[in-house]
Amino acid sequence: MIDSDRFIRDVCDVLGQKISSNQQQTEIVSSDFSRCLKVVAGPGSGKTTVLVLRLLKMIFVDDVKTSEIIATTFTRKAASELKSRILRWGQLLQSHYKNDPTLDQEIRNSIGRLNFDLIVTGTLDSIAEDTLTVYRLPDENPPVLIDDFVSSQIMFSLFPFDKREEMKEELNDNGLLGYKSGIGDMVESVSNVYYRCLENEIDVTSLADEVPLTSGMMKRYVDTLEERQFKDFPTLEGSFLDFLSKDRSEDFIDGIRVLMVDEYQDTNILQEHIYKVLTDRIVKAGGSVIFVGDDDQSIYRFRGSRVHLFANLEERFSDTSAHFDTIFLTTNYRSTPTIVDFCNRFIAFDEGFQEVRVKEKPPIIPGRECDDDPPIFAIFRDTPGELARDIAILVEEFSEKGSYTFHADDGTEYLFERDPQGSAADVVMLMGSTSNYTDNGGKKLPCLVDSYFEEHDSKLRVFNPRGDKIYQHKGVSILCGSILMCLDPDGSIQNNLKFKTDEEKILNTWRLGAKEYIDNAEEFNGCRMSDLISSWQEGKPYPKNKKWSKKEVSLLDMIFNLLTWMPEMRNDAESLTYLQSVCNAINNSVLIKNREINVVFENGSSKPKESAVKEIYNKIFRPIVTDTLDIDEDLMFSVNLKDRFSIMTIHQSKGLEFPITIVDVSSEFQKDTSKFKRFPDKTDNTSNIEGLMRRHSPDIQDDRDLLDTQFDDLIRKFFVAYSRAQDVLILVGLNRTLKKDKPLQHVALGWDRTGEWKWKDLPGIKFMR
Amino acid sequence: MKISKRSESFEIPKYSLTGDLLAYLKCGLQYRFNNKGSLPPSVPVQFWFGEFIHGVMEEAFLRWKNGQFSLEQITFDDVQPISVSVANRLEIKGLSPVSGLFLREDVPGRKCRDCVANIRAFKSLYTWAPSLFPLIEGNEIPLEGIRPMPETQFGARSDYYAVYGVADVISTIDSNVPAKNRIVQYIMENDSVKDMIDEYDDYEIIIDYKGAARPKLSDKEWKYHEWQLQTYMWLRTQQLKSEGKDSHVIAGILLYLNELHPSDESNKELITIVENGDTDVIPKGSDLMLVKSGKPGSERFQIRRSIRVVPFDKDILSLSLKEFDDVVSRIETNVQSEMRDSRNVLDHWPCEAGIETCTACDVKTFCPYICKSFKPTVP
Repeated sequence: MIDSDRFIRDVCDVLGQKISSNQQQTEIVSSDFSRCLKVVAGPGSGKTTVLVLRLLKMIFVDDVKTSEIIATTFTRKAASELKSRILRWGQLLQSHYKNDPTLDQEIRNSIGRLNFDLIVTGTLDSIAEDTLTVYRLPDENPPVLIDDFVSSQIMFSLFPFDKREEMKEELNDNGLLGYKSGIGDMVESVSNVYYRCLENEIDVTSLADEVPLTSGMMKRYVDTLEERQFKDFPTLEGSFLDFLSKDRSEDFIDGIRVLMVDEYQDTNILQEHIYKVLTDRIVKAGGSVIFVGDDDQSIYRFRGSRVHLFANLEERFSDTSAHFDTIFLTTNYRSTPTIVDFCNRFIAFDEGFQEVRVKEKPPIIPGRECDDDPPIFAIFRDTPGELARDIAILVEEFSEKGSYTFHADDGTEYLFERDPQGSAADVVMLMGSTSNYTDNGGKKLPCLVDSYFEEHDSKLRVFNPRGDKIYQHKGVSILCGSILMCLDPDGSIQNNLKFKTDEEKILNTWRLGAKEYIDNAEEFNGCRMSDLISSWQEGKPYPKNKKWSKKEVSLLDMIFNLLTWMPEMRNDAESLTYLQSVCNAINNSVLIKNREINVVFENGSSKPKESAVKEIYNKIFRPIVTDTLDIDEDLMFSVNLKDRFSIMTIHQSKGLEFPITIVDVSSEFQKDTSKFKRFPDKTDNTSNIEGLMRRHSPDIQDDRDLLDTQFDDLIRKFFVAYSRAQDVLILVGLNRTLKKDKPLQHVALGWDRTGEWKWKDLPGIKFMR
Repeated sequence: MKISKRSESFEIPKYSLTGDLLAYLKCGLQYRFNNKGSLPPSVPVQFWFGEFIHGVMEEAFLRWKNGQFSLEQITFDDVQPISVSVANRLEIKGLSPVSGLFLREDVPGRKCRDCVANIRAFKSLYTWAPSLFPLIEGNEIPLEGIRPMPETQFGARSDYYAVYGVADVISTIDSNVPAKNRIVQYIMENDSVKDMIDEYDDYEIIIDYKGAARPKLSDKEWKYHEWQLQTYMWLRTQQLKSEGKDSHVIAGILLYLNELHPSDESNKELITIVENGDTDVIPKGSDLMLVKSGKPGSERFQIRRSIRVVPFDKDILSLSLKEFDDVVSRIETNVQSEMRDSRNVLDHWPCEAGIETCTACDVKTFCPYICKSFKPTVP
């Protein structure tokens, strides 16, 4: 419809995207329709912009219908952002061309009719789910997708409790268990093995010789899913692959002319199989595919992603009809030249890592215009408390006073001036793990920063919705404790259930904490919390003039009643994410038990049935105290809070960017321990599972040494962290790490895998006085 | 050095017509908890029936298309396997009916034929399937469009917002459709629809099933349902244009399926509604006698109450889009206000709900607006 050169000009004039000055970007956007592309996109290189423009070029220049495009991304949020950009830019170009009198009226009419909403964007799973629903046969159920919580609960119910010790031995002997060995930990290990099997298209029973108990448990899980007609993510993808091989998928596949896959570096073997089937059919029919990723940012190996599928894409797709050309996007528009240089040096310092990178990969080039180019900063202190204090002061002064002066140890000063419209949201701290507490209950950096704010009456607070384990969260423990005070105040029912000592300890702590809270809770609207709890305990209605009218009460209803006296829990955005996780667990427990978990009363009485209370213990409280229940990231809709200092994991920060990025490299290393987090000396359970998979799958074709892969992971993880920074990058940690006579080896600080400290004393970095 | 402001997400906020806009109009605070914050409601009863009746209509249509369900003289026994299949599907999803609402098979002392959900499933198909199914062009059609973001108190975080919904059924009517088709008869009764039929060669109708009774005229729902369908018609028109089709969407039909087997409560309520002249389908003669005595009217009366034809109307469409813009502006303002003060979530969302909504609301005991009227209870 539109001439390609003109389109490129209009991208600049109408959309303000100056891609013509970037040869690689222009090449990707304007390439011939039929050219299949592998795009290796460095951080901040305008990847999403280029992808969207390529799709729009296919629509406006190559006359592809909007309904003929499928674009997959790694997360729902990324899919939504991609779609948003297509809609916005598509709309602008559409208005421009529609009103251009130099264009033929017929072309203007067809452009006027374009509907960008018809482009399908989503995760591979969401697209699989939708497709299987739309193309289902009569009497065939649409897929019922279960989440991780339901999946782990089903797995938990299938644990061979009578062979607990044998199971522990089997998992330990094969190195499949982490450093803890409770039932919850063993269930998690089996789940991990199960997911890796399916993602690698390995039959779970084929592991029976090597790990018989694990294999048996996985087989029972597979049977249960089949019997209950549930799908988890890999079985959903498996069904989708199955569907693609059937005749009735023709309508679906024939309707696709363009397939775009983003974050391809996080693909697994099963997904690769799906993409191969689609690619082969699409390209044979004259369509086009484009796969985008960055091997240096592949950080999901523990979830089954395989970076070599991207690195060796051309070879792996040689049995399809597609031939790929590789284009590198190297100009970084996000960070200052100093940060770009730091990232380049970091990704290149370890020679052993270069072997697994995409061949002939050029370094990233600074492309952002900026007036200031400050050095990289560092704050290292003797204790986590001192570190927390200095970080808290920095964030508070910057966001509340509008500026902060960094005093370097060489006497120089750097003034960080906040934008008049800026806020605490401009600063982020990234960490490997954002836990508030150590296993022994000691306060860790996020908690210490928050305590500093609290103790100094700051307006600021930390936003760290994954900081507490759910059972540790103050609000959750009071809420759950209050439920226990209503239903089993003396713990007699609890005593009949086999809880482990540490689990019992948590339940009793909840109860004690709740008791104190209930006694001191302020009267609300003329009602006292203690009166409501007494009514439950005595089996009398509340308020007293009411009749005892119900045979059962929904647990959620009970929770909402208790929240009446818990303003911190119902009023705080962070606490609400915890509340949502608990409530969703209650809601989803229906899937596990096939009926709601309610407080049911004995016939004709007001006494809760013991069996119902046991159900609540087993289906709700047990997953919480065994830490099987996790915070659902999708629930955190408020991630750009202006009155909070956000602390997030490096994994959560993927795809994001922040003006001031603080990266915690070593706040938890007081001693020469936890080597797996900084300089691994033995294979961990993720690697050992990988070893097991390699022995059972011919398709993996990866002979990278397992210990080396752990070093690779650490390098990629910190590369992602460092490359989030736009203006200022600050490394933080403990002085112990840098101790002159005996520094701790740490990949993040430039130690290569041979044990040589390539960045001895971190030259060029400005340390805080 | 000057530090940049953190860039806002490029995401266009997406609002579902029913799940967001209508939910917010019901109550802003309830919307924050149940929709935006996805806290599950404690009593999802209504949810089961809505899903069930939609599932029954869809499954029956799929079976009919595959030659597995006949539209000739539909009996209760023809429908029962479909109802059971859908109920099983919901069970897998963890949704169960309240006791007594639905039966898979007869049990001592109670028959399937006596259960409300079973009867409504049968009557819905018996009444509407023969005339509706042959007209169906597509079902469960996703509709989506974007609109410029209205002004918000703190400045817009995006220049557009997306509005979306799912049309239960899209129907086409051509000259081959027999005049005695019940759907056609009802739409022909509407003069403006008739005019549009005369004007256009190709036209479509959007049908939306409601697992609910026909709202009274003074009820907000009455107005909202019309806005919903006007907006669906607009979205569908955009979709058709993009596919190069010259078809016009001329009307929407709301099928209030509970009217085919009203509850005793609805029958009682209808007495007052009729007395107050608060409905557009007024019983006459023997129907009036029946209604006044708290009984359901004749079958004909029930069918008439179960169908509502909404002709496409540019003025009402503009009004509904303006209303939705306004709702989006209010939601966006609330969201941004919460983002600035995230430790006082309740303060940023309004509650303008009526007593019915509040009674069923989970946050009623601590809602700043109505908590004085609702105290926590045991049991």
